[in-house]
Amino acid sequence: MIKNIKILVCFFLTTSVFISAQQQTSIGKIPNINLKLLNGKKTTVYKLLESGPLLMDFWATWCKPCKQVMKHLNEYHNEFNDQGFQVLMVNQDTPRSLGKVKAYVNSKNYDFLVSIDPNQQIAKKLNGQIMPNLILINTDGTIRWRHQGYMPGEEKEIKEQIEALLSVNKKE
Amino acid sequence: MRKKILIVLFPLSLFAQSNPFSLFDLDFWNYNAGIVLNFGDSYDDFTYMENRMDLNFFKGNFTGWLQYEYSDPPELGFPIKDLRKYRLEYASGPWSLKLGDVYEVWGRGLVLAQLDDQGIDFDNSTRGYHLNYKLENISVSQMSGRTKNAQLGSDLRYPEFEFTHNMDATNIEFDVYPFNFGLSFLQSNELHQLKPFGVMDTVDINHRLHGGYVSWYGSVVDLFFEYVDKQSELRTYYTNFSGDEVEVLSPLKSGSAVYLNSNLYLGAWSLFFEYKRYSFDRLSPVDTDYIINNYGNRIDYQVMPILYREQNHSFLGRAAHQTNANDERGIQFELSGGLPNGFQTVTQYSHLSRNDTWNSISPIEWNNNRVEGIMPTNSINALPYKEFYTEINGYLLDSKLFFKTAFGMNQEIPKINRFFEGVSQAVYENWVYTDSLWYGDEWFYLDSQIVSVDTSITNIETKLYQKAKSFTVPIDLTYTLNNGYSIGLAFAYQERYKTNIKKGNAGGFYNYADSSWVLNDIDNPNVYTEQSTSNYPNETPFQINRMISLSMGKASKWAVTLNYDWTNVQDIVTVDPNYNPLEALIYGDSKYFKGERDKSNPPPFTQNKWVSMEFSYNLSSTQRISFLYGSIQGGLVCSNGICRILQPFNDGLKLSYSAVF
Repeated sequence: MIKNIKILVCFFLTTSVFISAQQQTSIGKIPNINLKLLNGKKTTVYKLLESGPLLMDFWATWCKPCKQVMKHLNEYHNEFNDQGFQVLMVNQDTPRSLGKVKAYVNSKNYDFLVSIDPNQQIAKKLNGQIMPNLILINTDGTIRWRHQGYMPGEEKEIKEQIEALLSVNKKE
Repeated sequence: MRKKILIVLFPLSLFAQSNPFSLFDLDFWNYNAGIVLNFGDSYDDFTYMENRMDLNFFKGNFTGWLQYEYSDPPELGFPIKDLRKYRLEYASGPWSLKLGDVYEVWGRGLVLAQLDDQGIDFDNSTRGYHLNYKLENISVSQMSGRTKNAQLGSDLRYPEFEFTHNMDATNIEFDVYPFNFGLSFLQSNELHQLKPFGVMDTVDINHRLHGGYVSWYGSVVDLFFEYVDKQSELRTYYTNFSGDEVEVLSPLKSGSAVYLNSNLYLGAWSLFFEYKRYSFDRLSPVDTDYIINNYGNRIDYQVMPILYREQNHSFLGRAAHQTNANDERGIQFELSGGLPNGFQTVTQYSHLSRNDTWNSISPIEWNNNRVEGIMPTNSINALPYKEFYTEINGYLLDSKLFFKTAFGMNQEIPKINRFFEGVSQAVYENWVYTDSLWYGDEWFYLDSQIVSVDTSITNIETKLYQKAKSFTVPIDLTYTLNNGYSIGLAFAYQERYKTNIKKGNAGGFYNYADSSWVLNDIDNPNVYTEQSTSNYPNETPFQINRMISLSMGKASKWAVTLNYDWTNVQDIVTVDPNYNPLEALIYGDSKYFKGERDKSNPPPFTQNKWVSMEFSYNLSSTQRISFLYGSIQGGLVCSNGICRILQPFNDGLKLSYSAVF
């Protein structure tokens, strides 16, 4: 057990130092991913980015904190939509509960985009398996900010990040 | 591992053109990575170490994925210290090719749905290739490869069986919005293991699935329908007179499945409806759990809708139904919508049953009769399940207080040991003593003879089955304070009943040759009785579960949660052998801290209780670490309709770390 703890601690320290050094303006780029939307239509991430920056979030109908943050994300989708900003919610329900997703989204009157990822392949490509998982993407496909999990009060930071990105884009 | 890395790197090196070494230059690629580290060690040796690193890289038309795992041992599954997953993808124009570990979903999974669910150690991916051609409205996919899926046996953590599939599959999809049609074909040669590892005894089975699905997206209504037909054959070999080995395919099992989903949207209200009828096998109520020996059923690729609620509360999850994907029909309704003041509500109802009613011929033999019509039945001998759930949630106090309260109940017949209602020939032999001796002060009977046999026909009812029901009330409150702080309170109360019911006027068998049930009271054949006894230990009438959880946190920084879970009786009695300081603090046991307690011999009031504290901290927006100390109750944990028994985690420490970059 002691040996395992030592291995874990070394690995953890190395990783966190490496990751901390990586915290720059951009955290990499996003691949162009095919999306199937809840209304049956198909598109890609880069097609959505043609309108403006995109905030992606991974969620499921059984994920409690995911549903808590969705209310705020819908507000931001509507508030900043005139600047081209959109929110894309990527649903992770498997075929076992996939049928309920659209009914849930409709009952909440959400306006943001929803795509389905029943075999979690989009989540795997973007390391979004821990939910909720927010990824803020600029129009050139660069990832500007990421965040895992949600606690009440974090919606303020989410909004600040969106406003900061839109503000940078305006100056450019 | 070196071979796997070469498989991925070789085609990429051709792409690197002038400078193959640029492959190893991080600036050449776009990439992202994620790390998950988990460690746990408990007083009763529930130890695990599970670590995974995912690396995604892409450039131009290429995308790659590597997953390295170091788990020795994991929480569930085999130890692994190797490159666990890899895949290289190339897409150009209408073509796309995937080499490596492929996960695909066609329709709603009646033919193919591939997932990697670490929580229950389920992974039915195919290691091979997937080729897709898409032009305008038509998409054609072809894939081939091998799948290995592990299965638990008597051990709660380490799989003892492995089923290997060599599969080929094709899917053709027509997308003419708002319609979408699909046709699927899958063939798999399965090596099905019959004995635990070390004793290799397998059967070779060929499965063929033909399926189709259609969906229609409307503004007010959506519809989805899928059908699959399955044939399974047993492959054996014999040597003919020429000495050649000849393959023989014998019909094994055949079946079909139907699934329908429709949604109706009326403003902010949605009505969701599902129907299913899965019929791949008919197993008597006593054979249902023996899936190792009952092969040829629904195969691991078929991950289908379950038609009951995917619960997000541990208490509701413990009382969840164990889905029978081979032999079940059912319906599910869910109404969800908005109420005044921004409140939301959801009400759900589900009813499932077997496709047949089962009647005992003898204590070990059954016959079945198809349930009429297409709907599930309430007949006890069709093992029905019913579930009802309603929830209301919303915000109060200027959106600072979030509340959620719900009520969930279910009832089912999970087991039947005996179920007979009809007429039977009651065989009763009348004997008289013919020779006796008075010795000492008592009679000794030396011989007797049968004088008559009563074979009258009698109405017989003899039933022995278990009935289970529960209700649960969870309440969640979260209050957001100023400056990003929040406090939370969660409480849940649950009652569970498991009753063994014995009823009728007869019991066991007198004579198999006569096929007769034995009357309880031969002189009063029309006296029917009903006995109900609790299935919980010590005849406890029902199980009461309670849980309180207190949490506090600072947004984007840290959170601490204290969980207190207790029951009046466990399903399977386990003894917590240790008394830790957190438990003593919660129970207010000052004697513990004064050194007046024997920590290795905990007092009775500590049993049936599990206390744990978790602290999590965000090192950055992409890094999170958490520590948990204490105990977690074991038992049934269900995810996506698949249930596992997890052993309890007593008096231990769990560490986890996750990061993306």
